[in-house]
Amino acid sequence: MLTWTRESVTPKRTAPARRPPALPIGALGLLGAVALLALGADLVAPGDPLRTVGPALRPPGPNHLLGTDDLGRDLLAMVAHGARTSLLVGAATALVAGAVGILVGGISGYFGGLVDDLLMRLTEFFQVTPRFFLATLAVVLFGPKLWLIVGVVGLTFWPGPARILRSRILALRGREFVLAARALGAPEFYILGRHVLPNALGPVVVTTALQVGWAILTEASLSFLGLGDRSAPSWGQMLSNAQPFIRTAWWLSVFPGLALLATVLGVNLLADWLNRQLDPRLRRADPRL
Amino acid sequence: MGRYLLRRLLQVPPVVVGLLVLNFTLIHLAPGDPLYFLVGEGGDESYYAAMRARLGLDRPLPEQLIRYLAGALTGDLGRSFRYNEPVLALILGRVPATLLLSGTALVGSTLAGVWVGTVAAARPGSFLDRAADALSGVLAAVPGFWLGQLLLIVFAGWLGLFPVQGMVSPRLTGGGWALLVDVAHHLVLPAGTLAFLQLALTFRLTHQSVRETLAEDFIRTARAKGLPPGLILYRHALRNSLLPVVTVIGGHVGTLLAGAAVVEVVFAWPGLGRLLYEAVLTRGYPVVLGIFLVVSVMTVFANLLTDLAYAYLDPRVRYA
Amino acid sequence: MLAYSAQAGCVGARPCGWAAGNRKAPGTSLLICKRDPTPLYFQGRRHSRSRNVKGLSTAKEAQEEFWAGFVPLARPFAPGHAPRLPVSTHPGGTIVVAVTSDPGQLNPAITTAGPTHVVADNMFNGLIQFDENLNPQPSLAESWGISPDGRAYTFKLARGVRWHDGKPFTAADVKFTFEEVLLKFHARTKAGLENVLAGIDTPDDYTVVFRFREPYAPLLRRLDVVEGPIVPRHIYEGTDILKNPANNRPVGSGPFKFVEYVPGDRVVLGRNDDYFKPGLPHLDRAVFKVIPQPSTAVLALEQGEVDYLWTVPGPDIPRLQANPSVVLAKAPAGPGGSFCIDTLIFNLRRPPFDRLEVRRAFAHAINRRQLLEQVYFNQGRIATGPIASTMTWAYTPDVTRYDYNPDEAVRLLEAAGYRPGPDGKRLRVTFVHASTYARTAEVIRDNLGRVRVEVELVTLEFNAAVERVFVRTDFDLGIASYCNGPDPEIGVTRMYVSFNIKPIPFSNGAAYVNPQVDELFARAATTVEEARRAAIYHEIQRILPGTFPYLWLIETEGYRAFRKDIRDLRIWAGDLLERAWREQTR
Repeated sequence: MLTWTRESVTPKRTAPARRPPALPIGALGLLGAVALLALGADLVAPGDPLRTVGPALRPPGPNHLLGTDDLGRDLLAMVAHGARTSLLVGAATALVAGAVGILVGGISGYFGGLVDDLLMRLTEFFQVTPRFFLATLAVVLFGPKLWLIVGVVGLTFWPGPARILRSRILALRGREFVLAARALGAPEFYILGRHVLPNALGPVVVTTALQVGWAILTEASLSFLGLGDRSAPSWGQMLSNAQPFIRTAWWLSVFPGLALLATVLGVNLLADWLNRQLDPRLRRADPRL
Repeated sequence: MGRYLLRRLLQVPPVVVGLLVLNFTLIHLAPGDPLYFLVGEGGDESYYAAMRARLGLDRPLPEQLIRYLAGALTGDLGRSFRYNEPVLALILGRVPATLLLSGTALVGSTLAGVWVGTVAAARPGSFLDRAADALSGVLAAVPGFWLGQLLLIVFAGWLGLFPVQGMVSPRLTGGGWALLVDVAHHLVLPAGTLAFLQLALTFRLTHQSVRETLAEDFIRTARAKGLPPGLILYRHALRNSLLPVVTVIGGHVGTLLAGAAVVEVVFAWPGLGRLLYEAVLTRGYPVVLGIFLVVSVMTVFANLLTDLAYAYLDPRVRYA
Repeated sequence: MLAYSAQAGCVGARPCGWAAGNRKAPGTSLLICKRDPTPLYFQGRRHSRSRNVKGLSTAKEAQEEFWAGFVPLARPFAPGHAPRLPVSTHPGGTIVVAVTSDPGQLNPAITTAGPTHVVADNMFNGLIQFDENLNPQPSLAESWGISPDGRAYTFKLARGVRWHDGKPFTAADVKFTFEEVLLKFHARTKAGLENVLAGIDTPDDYTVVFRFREPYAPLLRRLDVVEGPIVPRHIYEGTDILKNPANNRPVGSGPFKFVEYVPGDRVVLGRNDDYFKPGLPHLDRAVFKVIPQPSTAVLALEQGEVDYLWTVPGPDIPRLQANPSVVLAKAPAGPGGSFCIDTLIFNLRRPPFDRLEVRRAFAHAINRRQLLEQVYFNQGRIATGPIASTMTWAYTPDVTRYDYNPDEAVRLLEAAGYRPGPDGKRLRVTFVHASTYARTAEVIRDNLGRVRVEVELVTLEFNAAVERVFVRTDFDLGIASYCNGPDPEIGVTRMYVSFNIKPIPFSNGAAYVNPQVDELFARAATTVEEARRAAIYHEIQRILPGTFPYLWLIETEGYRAFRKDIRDLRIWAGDLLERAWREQTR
């Protein structure tokens, strides 16, 4: 077993052991590569990525850098265009969730009272709704369209940012600079927008960044179950199609899986870095984030 | 505490009713005839005519809503054509298998994550700390079905250590200890997959939380008092660090059930997630709607339990 | 033991030739075969010779056999026959069959769904059962005859048959099953028989007579356990048949009894010790395990966790072929359907497919070889027409071919007036399909893209796709697996006759109207003599590919895979396990 030394239990420094780097190198590296791929998809692989371009099930080689799938489609083209889909889905979902969350959390935290109660009940209602099952239900009932998935998943993600923002605002609204602004005659919304929000948004941004990764994984899981939108190439769908070939054509599972992994990892690292940039003590203000 | 519990319990019915209303709204917003969503495919003309009359689908919408609520609250969630069984009975029959899988994964991942997180936090900058950090970052980003398939091929295919599919060996007859061992043998890979995915989150939370707690003054005091380091770590630091972990785990019960759905499909585990998948494929609407409802209600109660655990762990938390 | 005299005829693959004991029915060219009194499966391991696991090459043997579509005056089972099992057979053992879909309810008479039949057909019987060439053999009916005018079929039923609950089986069960169950709820039987059947009589407890309005040729092949399973009257009479709890705990007459059903996981069947065919079944237990992922099932088969797979995913075929403990075998028929062809459906009701040139253009634009290789993994053949090439007696290869020729397709489209527009596309069509056809649809879209036709893919769940194509008829292209059935009358006629343009799944989805074809099919159904019937079907096959109501893509013939130590699996039928045995008892 490990031995405990005094030093290990009480670290010499009270600050975190490593200083956060000035720039999140790992995150930027990963995300940069993915973003480049997404933006440059048309250069790297022009044309419709879903058309047959070569013999089926070729391993990676000089003609097709990542190989071809069972319909003779170039894997590199599909991964590149899939990057666009995944990044878009992740970003759009997080944006929707963030926007709604900030709106609700801001109003609820700042104005309090009955409005706060009602909005918090609404938040709890969406929090208890299991997001994966709701998305499944929506897709089954309404059909597999990308914007629907984004909308539904986004609708289940917003309670997170909302509650975080609300707790931050609750901590901030009694502070002196707010009272001072009010004494100077500033209207409430102005105080909220100009003074309170910029100080409160820190953890919200972190959570939103994390949600990008979760949204991408949720979309991949839905595609895996056959509920994805087939007209757009997506990594989750590629992984689903690759299942029967997992022992015979390893490249069909490995490359989209790695792409997914890299993207989500990059997003998570970015979120971590953002987290460390903000005052770490704030996280203890309300553990119920 | 008692009053808090009462207040929370009183909040459950409105939430459940809200979920039912959500279900109802979705049924009627979706394109197509709501009858098929409530009753399912497979009948003939006369059957549908009879069901339409019985469900009151020609009545005004508010009245339909009341009927739907009344039906759902008395446990009538419709009937599955495919299984020739009421939906609620069908779903409840699958819940134990899913609970076994998710429960084992939850317990396993929590214990492992908390333990490794604590140990790593106690030794900052060590190899364990850095390795666990990196690994958890990767695990948090891996799609569940991918991981499941990889584990299946490696451990059940190449190495042949574990059975490939299902919960019970099809050749096994009889029960008792043999059955228990068989189920446990089958449980390892699917629960392991689920646990790995949750492990990352638990580890990171615990790690962060314990590290912060270890920087607190009261730890320094305890150390100054000469308490053994193990006691400090486990009794004082850990207990105070568990709050955010508990909260987030409780809030992720829904995710655990969803992750279970994907793992159940890959490993052919006969639980709720598999039922959902098949219902989706065969357009068994009453089953899909019913599962959504049941899982939501389960999540509500899981949240309640989490909040109670939270109150137990932190005496400073007071609920008015 | 293994020598077959010329007297052994009309059972199995042996030719029923012009040998002593066989005679010609007067006034016809039919043979009345004298059956060997010792049923063939008691004669030991003949199957090692005739069961060629690489394919049904014994079909060639059967071609020598003059088969009229029914067996007049076959000799009955004699219950007193002592079963002579080969010495190396060990009775007993368990078999585990992997199925991809949960069966749901277990009454095969109220549904045509494959998942239910795969399991339930082992608990029931039809009046006849199929041998490996899909020729009728005695089952619940031990002999039968047809009236000279072809309008009445008389069946003599086996005696001493008991239902699993001990009650005796009689002709009343047959009458009840057809009138109250099959003709109301079994899609194919209802569609096929309800207009032609005049009535069913039961003059005594062991005789059933089917009376028809016109001479009706295909009756016998509709009477196996897939198309016409018999259910007990005393359980179902007077109840709501669709909701009867016996649908979940069935009582049948078959070789296996119901033991247990764990929904989503497995169905367990046990040996029926009172089965009316002496010496059968050999196995003690059958477990049907639900494994939704085919690749997981393959892994399970390799590890020995399961013994039999009904479908093998294409990419795993080479690995299984190289595996010494696994056997692969093809069969064109099964509990989900026989002689199936994946067929592209043109909507003739509206442009552009109301024009023959456009349909012919599409036929030339689609690369069926690519489909066969990439999507079907060579499990099948390129189809040439409405009847599958494996239905040898009715098939003719002498038809108009429409090979892959994109230049010809372009020429036809241009001639029809479809030139590329400002966006580069000549034409836009919607292709409604179920998600199982996603790969096929993608290849087709790609092929048509090359001739500048844009195909909009509408992927729906299976039932939604069926509803949109057949009920709402809102599509340009559709796709379905139309199974010919054991007899063309079962599965082919419905696609082409004008009176079957109905909002019913798997009817005449193209809305094809051709009075000449209508008349030909009507004649084929009422022509009892097989040679003349075959000629009519040949003529139909010559007409249809010229007029193209559908595009026949691929005849699907999937592999079954199973462990080497299991023998005598009836892989072409629903009652897979009736004769199966393992080389060693577990």
